Amino acid sequence: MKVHRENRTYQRIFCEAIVSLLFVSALFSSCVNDHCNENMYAPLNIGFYSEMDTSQQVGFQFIVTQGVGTDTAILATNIFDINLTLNPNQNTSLFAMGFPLPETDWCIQEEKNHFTSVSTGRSYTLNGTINDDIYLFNDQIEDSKKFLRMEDSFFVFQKIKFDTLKITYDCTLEFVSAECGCRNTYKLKTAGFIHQGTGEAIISNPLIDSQNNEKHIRLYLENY
Amino acid sequence: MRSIFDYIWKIISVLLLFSVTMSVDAKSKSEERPQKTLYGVFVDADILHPIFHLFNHDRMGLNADIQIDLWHKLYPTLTIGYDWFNASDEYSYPIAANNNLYKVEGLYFKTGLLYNIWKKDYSKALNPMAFLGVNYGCSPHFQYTIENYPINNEYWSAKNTTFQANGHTTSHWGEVVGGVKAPIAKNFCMGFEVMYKFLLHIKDQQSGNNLIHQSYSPGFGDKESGMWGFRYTISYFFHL
Repeated sequence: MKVHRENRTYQRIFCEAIVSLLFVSALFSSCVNDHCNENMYAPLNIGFYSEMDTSQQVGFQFIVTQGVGTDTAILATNIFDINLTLNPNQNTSLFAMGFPLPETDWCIQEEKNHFTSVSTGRSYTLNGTINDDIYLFNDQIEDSKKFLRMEDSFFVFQKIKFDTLKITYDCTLEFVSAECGCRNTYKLKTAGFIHQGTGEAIISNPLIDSQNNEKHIRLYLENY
Repeated sequence: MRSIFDYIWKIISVLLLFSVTMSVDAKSKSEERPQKTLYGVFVDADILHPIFHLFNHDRMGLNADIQIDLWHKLYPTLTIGYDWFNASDEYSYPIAANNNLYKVEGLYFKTGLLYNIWKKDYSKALNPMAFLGVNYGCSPHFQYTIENYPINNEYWSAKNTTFQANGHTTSHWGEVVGGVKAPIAKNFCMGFEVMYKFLLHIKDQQSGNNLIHQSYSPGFGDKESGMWGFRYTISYFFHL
């Protein structure tokens, strides 16, 4: 008889407890981490150094880069390094890069597309557009040289050294999680300019993922 | 939010009431030594996850275990379970995707040891119990299916493609368990358990140039926030 009464007590306690437990456990059991907290961007970080003093990092007022095969030129300003996105569908990426040389020229505009140097009398002609702020010009005297227009009280023309950086790598497509989706990570194999006289590219950190922000490639540039 | 705390407080109150009842009951018994080593075997079935399935058809779980009653004190346990979870709607995937799917399913096993912290009446074969213990869990070959996750690369004007993968992988985890169990009818008990889980490892799968991490494991739950687990059990006790 006593055992029977004990069992009824337990039944009552459990009936009360089950309602509470179901509520709380429903809250906890359905918990998933439903927001992506991962950095899904794994950029290639390139730092600029002087070839004459390899410990010296070089800063630029601007650098122009464009992935060969893309429509988008990137103008990065006031930088010591730059982040680029590698092509995940290929094992090679080519980037056209323009580095401003120290030489500058101040010009006045004579006609719509013609600019004349105040100091040398050289004439420059509009030759193309990179984006709304950057225009390419032909120097009438040195026909192949290109210049970039910067707007000030004068038009400031600065000679740019153009070259193409070639990078080879292995690409891995990573499914990070259900809440974040996919990202690409890379392992660098080679890097270098395709022309002589620009500088040397050294791979300092071959693994490109979102965890590691250490510079991946160091460009040791001539003439800086 | 206040109602949540009310419910939590109610549970704590019920547990306290339960403990007082049990203590008083146990104190009235004379101290005895165990009369035998093996009192019997519990066979438990969880009813909580089947109840959840009635409200959420994307989630289904079944599990059962056996617990061997040694001296009314130690309870070696072995659990077998099966989880099926279509997790697609649970995650706030940031990129609008067409029917992206993430689904896992598979068997899992747990083994562990529980210790009865309640005072025992050794003269009875079946006693109420409150226990603490540890478990090791493993889902040795669970299946994952991933479909229609977009791979975007706007800069390189790559064609928008989607990621598809399926396969099997393995997970391991540990648990700290606490709970109570009490007889409600002849040889039948009801009980509930709370588990704090910690993930030991989910094996990443490398397939060609693809590396696949998992977000979810059967038996454990979400990799990042699946720390808490609950069971509500009905048991049958086999006397030995």
